[in-house]
Amino acid sequence: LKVRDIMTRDLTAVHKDNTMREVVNILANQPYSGVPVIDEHNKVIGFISVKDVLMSEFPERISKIGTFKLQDFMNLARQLDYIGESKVVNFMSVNPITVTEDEPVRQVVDLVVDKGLKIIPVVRDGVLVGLVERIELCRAYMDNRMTADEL
Amino acid sequence: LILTVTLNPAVDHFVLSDHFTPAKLNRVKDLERHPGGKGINIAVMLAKMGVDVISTGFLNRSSSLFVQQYLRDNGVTTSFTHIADETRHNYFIIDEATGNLTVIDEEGPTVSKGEFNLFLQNYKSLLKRVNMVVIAGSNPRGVEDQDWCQLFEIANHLGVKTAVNVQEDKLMICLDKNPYLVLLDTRSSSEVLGKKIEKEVDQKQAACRIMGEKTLFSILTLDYQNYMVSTTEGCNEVNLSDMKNRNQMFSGDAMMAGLVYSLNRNDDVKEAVRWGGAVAIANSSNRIKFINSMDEVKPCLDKVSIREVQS
Repeated sequence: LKVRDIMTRDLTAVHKDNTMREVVNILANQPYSGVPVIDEHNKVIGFISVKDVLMSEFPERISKIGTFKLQDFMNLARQLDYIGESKVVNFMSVNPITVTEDEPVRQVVDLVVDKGLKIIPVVRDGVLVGLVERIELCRAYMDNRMTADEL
Repeated sequence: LILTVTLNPAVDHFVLSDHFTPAKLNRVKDLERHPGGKGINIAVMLAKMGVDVISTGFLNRSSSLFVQQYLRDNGVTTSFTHIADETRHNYFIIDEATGNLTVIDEEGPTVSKGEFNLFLQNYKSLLKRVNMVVIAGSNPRGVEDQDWCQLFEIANHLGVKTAVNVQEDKLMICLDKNPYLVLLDTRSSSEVLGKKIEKEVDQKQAACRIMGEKTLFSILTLDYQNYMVSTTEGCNEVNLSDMKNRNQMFSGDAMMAGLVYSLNRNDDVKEAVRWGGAVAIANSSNRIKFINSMDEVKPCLDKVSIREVQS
């Protein structure tokens, strides 16, 4: 089974010039917990997740206890007034992990297990062509398109 | 690779009834739900013919899961801008006993300036991937004519050909932007470019010539079976046989899909019109929408007749 067989053919992404306010709006209105960041040539240059946005406000707490409280969200809302106009490139993860359409799904399983990734951008010559979602691995297994060995 | 733009997508509900009676309780015999909007319809038909196609526009989160999943399942790559206001729902009530169709169209959402700017940013990126963009369908509230014109200006600037499915009210501003292909539906218009036209075919030919002076390639829809095609070389009448008493919904979208399919292969205008007509005929044999594959289209190529009109 190849990545092309399970990938989501969706180009949802944010652009490197997007502000954090725009990024929060984009993340709030679509189903993914994070999206790739692309440049003017549609090449994937980073990844921004809800966690990255929260990390911008509470890096210590999240790295220590891995979670946050309601009060944190309220602080975040206030903080967004300050960081809202900053560009996403200042907050995104750089050198994001990507896969190509021809890679075996086994490769994705390794990334999900080893790196804890939920969404992996799929690229062709560096250009975004889709996404692999962690849930699609489970679906492929449930649909008998993937063996337990592969998973 | 083709990009289709649907600024005002819809969720289309097809309600099939045996005897639909207004102001009475009507039992539903069958119900189907499909994504709608001209650009989306065209994208699905292109994908069914094996063309790589990306679909963009505005979607609300609650509708996006259904619409995008449907598109991806049918081979269309998605790249929509998500908006706060609700995507519209349209209802097509089909009385199978009489063949009557009742359509209830919702106007659609309001798009904010910020949402439109995010869309434009994405649109510019998508144009760098494609050779042609199809702009089709109505504008939601909040997207003004000058906003719509920007879609053509950006495509022209990036050297991407534009194909547009347009009504008379937007024809003039659209022609000012030098579209590559214009499909104009004249069924509910009484004039073309400010000139009153009658329903007789010779009057339509005159309208066709007016269009010919303004565009490289334009098509006027006279009715479901008859079209006028204008190019720099002259006018042609196009007739589609085998369309009567069949499903005529979305025949304009099917025509556009066939035209774009063929032009994307660098066919000449007459061949493109043949493909447009063939997809329209093939699509008319489906109960609701859309064509299922190229196998349905190819046998219909011979059912399209094109006749040059002497000036």
